[in-house]
Amino acid sequence: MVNLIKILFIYLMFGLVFNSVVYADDSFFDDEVVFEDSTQELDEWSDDSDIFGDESIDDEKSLAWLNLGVSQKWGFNPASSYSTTKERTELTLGTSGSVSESGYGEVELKATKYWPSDSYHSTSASDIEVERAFLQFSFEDWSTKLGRYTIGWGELEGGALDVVNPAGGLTDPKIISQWFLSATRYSNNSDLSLFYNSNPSITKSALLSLKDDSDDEFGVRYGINREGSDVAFYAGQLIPNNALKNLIDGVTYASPYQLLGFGMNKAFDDYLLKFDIAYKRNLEHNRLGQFIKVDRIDWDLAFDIQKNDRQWLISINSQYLLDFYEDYLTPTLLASVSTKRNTTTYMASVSDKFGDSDWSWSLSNIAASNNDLSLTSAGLDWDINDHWKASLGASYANAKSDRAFSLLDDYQRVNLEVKYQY
Amino acid sequence: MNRLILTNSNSPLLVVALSIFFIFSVSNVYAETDLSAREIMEKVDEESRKSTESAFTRMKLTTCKYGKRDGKVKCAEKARVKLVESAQINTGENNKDSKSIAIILEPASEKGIGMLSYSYDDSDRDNETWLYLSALGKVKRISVRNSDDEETESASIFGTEMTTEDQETGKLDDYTYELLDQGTFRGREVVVIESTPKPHRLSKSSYGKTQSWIDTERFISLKVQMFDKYNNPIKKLEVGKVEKINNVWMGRSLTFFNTVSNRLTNMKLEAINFDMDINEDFLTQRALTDQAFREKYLKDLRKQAK
Repeated sequence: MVNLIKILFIYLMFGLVFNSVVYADDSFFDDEVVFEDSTQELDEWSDDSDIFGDESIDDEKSLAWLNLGVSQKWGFNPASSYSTTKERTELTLGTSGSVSESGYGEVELKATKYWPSDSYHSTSASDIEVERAFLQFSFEDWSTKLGRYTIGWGELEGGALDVVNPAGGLTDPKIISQWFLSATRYSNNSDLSLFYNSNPSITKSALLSLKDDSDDEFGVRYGINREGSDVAFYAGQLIPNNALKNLIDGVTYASPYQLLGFGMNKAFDDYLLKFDIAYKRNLEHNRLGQFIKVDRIDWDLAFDIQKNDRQWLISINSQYLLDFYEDYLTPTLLASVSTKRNTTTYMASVSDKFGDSDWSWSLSNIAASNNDLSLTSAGLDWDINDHWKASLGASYANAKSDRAFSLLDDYQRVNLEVKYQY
Repeated sequence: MNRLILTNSNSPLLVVALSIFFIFSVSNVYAETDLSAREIMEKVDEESRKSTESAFTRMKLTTCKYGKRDGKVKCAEKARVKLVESAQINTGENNKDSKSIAIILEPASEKGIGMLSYSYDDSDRDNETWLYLSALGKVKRISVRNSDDEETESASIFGTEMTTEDQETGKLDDYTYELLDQGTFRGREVVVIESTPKPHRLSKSSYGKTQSWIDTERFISLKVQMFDKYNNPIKKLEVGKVEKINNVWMGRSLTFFNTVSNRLTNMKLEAINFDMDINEDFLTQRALTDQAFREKYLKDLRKQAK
């Protein structure tokens, strides 16, 4: 018996020594997972989506070809007893898909109903627009695209090179699509794109007539993708997105100018550095008693910082007039103010998610040099489900009454939007 | 886990039986642990690469807040569903780098959003990711988690509980490995291996360590428990529907449980095809901006997959 115990002891020690690594921490399995009970645990979380309970999850959307969206938008002016400035309903219908072996197309139409309280109602009670409509064909290294869409130039949205598509301005940064013909040749780690637009969109005041609106715009972009960084070179003849009022004849002009540019991004840790620079030649400008053409260097520098779901964007945007005289003027709504040689705009924005990522908030401030303008915006978005979304936004601007942004002084808005998308 | 049962007997037969048992037991352990933890992880990495080699997949990503009902994990809200197609190839030296593209098919509000990712085995090379935003008409590089900020997490993939770090392969030199335990898990022989990032990696990782339950025959993870840098369990991955597809063992249902936010994402591979003819040219920014090119390729891949 003693021998047997000795033998067992020896075997036991032998076994334990050689199993010492794997028996090192028995408490390891004190966790919820016990191997012997694994079947039950398996049932708990898998295998046939039992997790999702009685609610069935539709695999396929019926009418898969149709993209439908309905939005209701309201805008209020707190500075005027919260009077309604915007009350409109938008219906978007769209579809997309292959049109041949090498082709692809997308179309999206937007119908807008402006209700009587909407400030735009006096101009139009309803409107139908082509938001997007294009055909794209791809052959070998080439791709061509014809239709109405958006071309994004440069690294920073609203920056020195983001000049192809006009936007609604500081208080409505939505980009407006345009009709283009473009072609791109793709090579290893680089691409060369050209675009042509025979009828550029120009943001202009309805109160002023526009001259010189028949010029074409065209441009070329050569992009190089490198590890950790993308760079691109730009050249083109463009039409200003905003028409300029000639202080002598009171008519607005949007004459072509020439652009040479360079943009790049580089990733550093959590930071993404963005840089754009553009030389713009023959930009129209007012001078005392003259309507002249000037050259300007625009540049911007931005840092995109990602910390978990929190995203920061800090940017500087500068415009420097190469030829400068003290009598340069910038038009305002009713008169004009002197022009500074260098105009700098600073922007800081932050956005984050909360409530299990169903909610997100954002806060931004845009400040112009010399305290000419400070525009603060805040937003709250609620991603209700895969179909419904709601957003609430508020903006407040404070501008010097005797400077270029005087029109925005004491600008206040609260906007609410509810959107359904199918 | 093998259990020892000792009875009070002096039978020589028992001695022989016990001898055989122990020898078998020990030799079995030798057979399973002959490989070091690092070697096992190398095999897991190798198998993982096989499952992504020239692969074309259609997957459903389902995300919801979860709770327990009747002892079972259930969604506590209507789940968000994304239908995604993805293509991936392995490239670089010894095929240890990878290039992939994922395109959202549903929901309608996100349809067409594409994400291109390059993942490098070399620790000195940071992975790269680009997104195409059609409203802006351009491709945007996004900064992925590479910094030394300990509180920062990797970027979420399409708003799910999966992060870019969860999808990483390679970079084995960035971790130390320890074999913690061995036994039977869901009827499979497994080892539990703890991977601890080395200091330079720790600063870039969302996790302080991970523990992986690895099938010692198939070399796939059946479960992964992730811990934060203070040793708190924060996330786990459960792998289900393990199937052999084209001689590669893989899980067709992966569920990520974020045990801090009580949210989960289930990634169900609805279709997966290996050894597809995926041209490296497809896994470039062109596939993000040139929809005709993308559709042509996807159509071809769908045809190959049939």
